[in-house]
Amino acid sequence: MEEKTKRYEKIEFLGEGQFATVYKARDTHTDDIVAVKKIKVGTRAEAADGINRTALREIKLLQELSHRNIIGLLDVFGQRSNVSLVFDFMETDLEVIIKDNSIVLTPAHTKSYILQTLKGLEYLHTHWILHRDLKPNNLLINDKVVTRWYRCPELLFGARQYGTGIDMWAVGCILAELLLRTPFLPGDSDIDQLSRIFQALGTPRDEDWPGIKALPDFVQFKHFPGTPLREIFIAASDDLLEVLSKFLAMDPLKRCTSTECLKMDYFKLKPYPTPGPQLPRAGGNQNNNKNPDRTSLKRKLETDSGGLAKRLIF
Amino acid sequence: MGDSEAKVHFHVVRFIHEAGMKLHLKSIPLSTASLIYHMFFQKNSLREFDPYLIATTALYLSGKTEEAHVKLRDVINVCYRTLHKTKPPLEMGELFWALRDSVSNCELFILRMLQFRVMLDHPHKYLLHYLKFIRDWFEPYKWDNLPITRTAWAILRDSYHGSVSLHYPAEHVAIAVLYLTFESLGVEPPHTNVCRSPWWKVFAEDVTLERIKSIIIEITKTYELEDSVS
Repeated sequence: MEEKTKRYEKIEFLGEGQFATVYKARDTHTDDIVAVKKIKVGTRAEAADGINRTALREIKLLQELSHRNIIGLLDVFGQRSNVSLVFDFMETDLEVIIKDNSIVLTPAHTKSYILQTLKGLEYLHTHWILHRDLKPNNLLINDKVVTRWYRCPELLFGARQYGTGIDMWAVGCILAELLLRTPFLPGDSDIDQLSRIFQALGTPRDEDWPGIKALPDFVQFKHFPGTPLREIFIAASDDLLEVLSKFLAMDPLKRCTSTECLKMDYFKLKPYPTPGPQLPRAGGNQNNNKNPDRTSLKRKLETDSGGLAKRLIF
Repeated sequence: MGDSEAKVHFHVVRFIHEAGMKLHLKSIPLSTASLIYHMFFQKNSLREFDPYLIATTALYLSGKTEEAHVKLRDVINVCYRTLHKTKPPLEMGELFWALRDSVSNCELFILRMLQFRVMLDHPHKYLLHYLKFIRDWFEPYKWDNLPITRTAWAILRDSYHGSVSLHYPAEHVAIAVLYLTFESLGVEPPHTNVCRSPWWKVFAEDVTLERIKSIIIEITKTYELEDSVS
């Protein structure tokens, strides 16, 4: 077991979050570049409780999952009181791509990202796993990014029983962000988040969402008529707007499942999704990583898959 | 495994079950704790590790992996009380902190030893499914008058005193448990004599009578052990 720590040679620090520190490293056995995520021990009180439950859950689930759009857990090792997870190394994440102004995202690119996300999500959902923290930067933790922006109305109203719809809503927000190149609903509090949602999409009436008033933290909002999606996303095609409206349906029961979505016209009609290797790369064209045929970007979107973790984002 | 070792493990698993029940752990976390304990001692010797520390840690760890978390403080208090029935309850003090540190260190040690493989497939869900299914073959009044469900569930629980669930696929263990249940109650599923294929073939294509028998032999060993230790 001791040689595990020596097996991975640290190359550089990649990022740090509340629960983990991530390093880029070389696997000396295979010469592959990997990402090593070292779970923080936490405060003394937390350390006394033994292994972090969220980390254990992530390990347990990722060991069971295998899908090309979900990050692969390659290895787990412990040293003293630390636990580290070893993942495929991903060049970048979707947030970087969205924010990089030098990158032009064509409709085909957008379709490809959403397609890959949905395929990964479909796999998770058929295995009874909810991601619960989909957002563009799911690879590294960035304190500024707020999960709230991708949170669906039922969770904001305090729902305790929820389903795959929470992930579908997040996909809708990500798709909107790919089109707008800026977060679609950047609320700065939970109330502001709801108000932005309703301003954009219209305040739901009882008949739009039966049962809305029964949610634990329900508050009545002023009536906003909402703006038709077509007027917000001027350049989007009809078939795209159709899927978007399914992702962003206010009533979670009216949102489509990933399987249903994948069958919609958007994914059948032109332009066809760009194959993974031809998707734009971050930072112009660095060629420091020589395996362009990896479907890098998107896989990491799913990274956290295992971590039902609310925040353990990796 | 020597006979005396088997007896120690029998006692310790009984301890796991007793403490686990007091902690309100359900069948699955209890079963996982027992298997973690068995897996540990398949690779390590009783001479080097205190079985009760391993058992306590296994209970705590299984609560985490099976999403039935119990507080470490409760695990330690309950296990201490279960183990030392005549001593006064554990006070918050040096001994408590020392025990807590032992368990949390031991937890990581066990995880590393198991290479973090903590997803276990237990026979429970298969057994439940088979029972629901086979109930429909019986006439209702007959089924209601036979303690099939209870017996099967008890046999399955008892089987964790040994490590049979580590050695065979969960479906096969579930079938063997059901087989043993029918044998011990002296009943046969309806139409056994007229059917061309035996009832258990319906549940798992790849199981053989030979396999069922060897699982049953392993399960019954536990009961023989019980006779010799009590």
